Amino acid sequence: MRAVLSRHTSSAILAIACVVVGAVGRAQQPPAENPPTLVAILPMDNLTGRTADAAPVAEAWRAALVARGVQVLDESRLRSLMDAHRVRYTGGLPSDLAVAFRDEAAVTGVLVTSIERWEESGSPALALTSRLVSTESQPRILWVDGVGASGEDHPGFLDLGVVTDPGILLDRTIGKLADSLAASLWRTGIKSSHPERRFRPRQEFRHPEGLSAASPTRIAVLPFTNRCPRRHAGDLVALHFVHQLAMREDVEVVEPGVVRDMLLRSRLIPEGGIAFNQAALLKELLGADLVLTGDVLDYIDTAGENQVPVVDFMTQLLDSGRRSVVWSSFHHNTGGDRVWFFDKGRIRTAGALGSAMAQATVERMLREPTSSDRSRAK
Amino acid sequence: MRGTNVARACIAGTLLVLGAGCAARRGAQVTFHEPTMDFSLVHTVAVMPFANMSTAQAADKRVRDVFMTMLQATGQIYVLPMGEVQRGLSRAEMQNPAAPSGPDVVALAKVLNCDAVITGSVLEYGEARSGSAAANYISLSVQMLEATTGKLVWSAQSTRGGVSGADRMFGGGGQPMNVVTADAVNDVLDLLFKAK
Repeated sequence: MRAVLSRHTSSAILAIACVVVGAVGRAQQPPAENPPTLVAILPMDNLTGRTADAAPVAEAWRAALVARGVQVLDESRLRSLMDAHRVRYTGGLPSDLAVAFRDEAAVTGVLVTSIERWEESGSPALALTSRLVSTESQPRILWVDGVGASGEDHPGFLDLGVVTDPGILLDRTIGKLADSLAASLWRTGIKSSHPERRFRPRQEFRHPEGLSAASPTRIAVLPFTNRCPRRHAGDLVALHFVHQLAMREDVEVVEPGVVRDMLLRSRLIPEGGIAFNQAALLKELLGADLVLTGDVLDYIDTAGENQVPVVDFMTQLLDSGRRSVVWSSFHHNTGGDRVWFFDKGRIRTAGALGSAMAQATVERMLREPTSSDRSRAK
Repeated sequence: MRGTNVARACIAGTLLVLGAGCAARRGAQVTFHEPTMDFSLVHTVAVMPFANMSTAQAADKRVRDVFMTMLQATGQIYVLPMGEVQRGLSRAEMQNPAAPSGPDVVALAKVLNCDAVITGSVLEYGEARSGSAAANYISLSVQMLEATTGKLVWSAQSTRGGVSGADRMFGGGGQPMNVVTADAVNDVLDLLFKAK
């Protein structure tokens, strides 16, 4: 009897633990208020820094969404709409294009995908970020997720888990993202990892009075200034921040396509950083309470088996209302940081490393004020 | 008796090695404070782009980023954002922001409404070699110029990293560049806050 009771007790404890762990693992992603009924997949935005055949990625996305019961806009219809509006930039969705998609094709969500790395030869690697943007007059990010994967992520026993076929890696990666998107559309829970301590900023400053009184805080992420040889590194780090900030309930991120469009229209070139008057202009035009910007100093992907990626950047968050820097941080990490045994925890792509660093930064940036913060404010 | 001598020699040798290691790691620090300056009045500073005298590309930008963040993180001084400084430089039409003249500093401080302007130079940044051993090292100097007169009120220099005795004997590549940079910036900031 006692043995049965203890078995029941242990089962109950196990069940409760599973529920608790499951609840903790849920993403804090905002659910889509009106699940899109028709999705348009924009051609992939190539941020690899060289020519890449992105057609297989787009095809994989289309197949994955159809398989999950999501209606996708016909490719010829998409092409004709893009030709009619002379769309060249596919890394974001400006307001006028969003409205055109809604009015002319009855599209309710547009999928924007930026490819950071796509290696088909040798050891395959794929890093990309996708987001679903609403087609309202003020486009909103409904869902966002990113994956950085390589064929050697999970080598397992005797390297049996090593993936050498890029097609398999592509299907797995897109499948993971499509599951996440479908879960968001059907409002089921999405699992997300927790920020890791090892990727926290090396140095940080947070305004003692907190970031912003507005709730949810509306943040515009500007492309970071690229000071390293890797092309598009500034856009990539900005994209990682868009991803991590959009996952938070207490933050509303301005769609990067809208930010870019506004910068072009107002002929605003934030060379060497953004000034307060420019931040004030963005607040007026975009309603952004805060503006995030920074510098990227290193964004190095692995070139060989024994190499680790290196990412190095600094961030500044500006509040034009207070004319003040409310957050500032400096980061430097490698994919091998605090990896001691059997490559456990090693990160093999700069995309995954940058995303982990952005996640840890956002967690520190938006944390609840501690007692030392409060005493500083006084 | 002979055993005691050997033990003494071993201890002396170990201390020598450790001492040599520490001597190489310890930063060489030099500082100047204007005696009549009240540093507690400095609340807002503009950090100019640093001069790069090393052979490493972008060393000036890296060190400036670390310096700005660490100075801001002290919570004692407000550091103007980079874009704001850039705007000020454009408006003041400053020719050489890394080495501004007194009138330039006064004009810039008026535009930016700051109490002091900080300039800096990265003197060395890279890898030092000694035999087969190699280690990262940095040498930087930073100056503070007062806003109303453009006068130099504080200057400091620090050198960190390099090949230690332990590196020579046991190998090892010293500290990562970012750690060495943060150490050097920390030295300089210590020297600044001692000025109070």
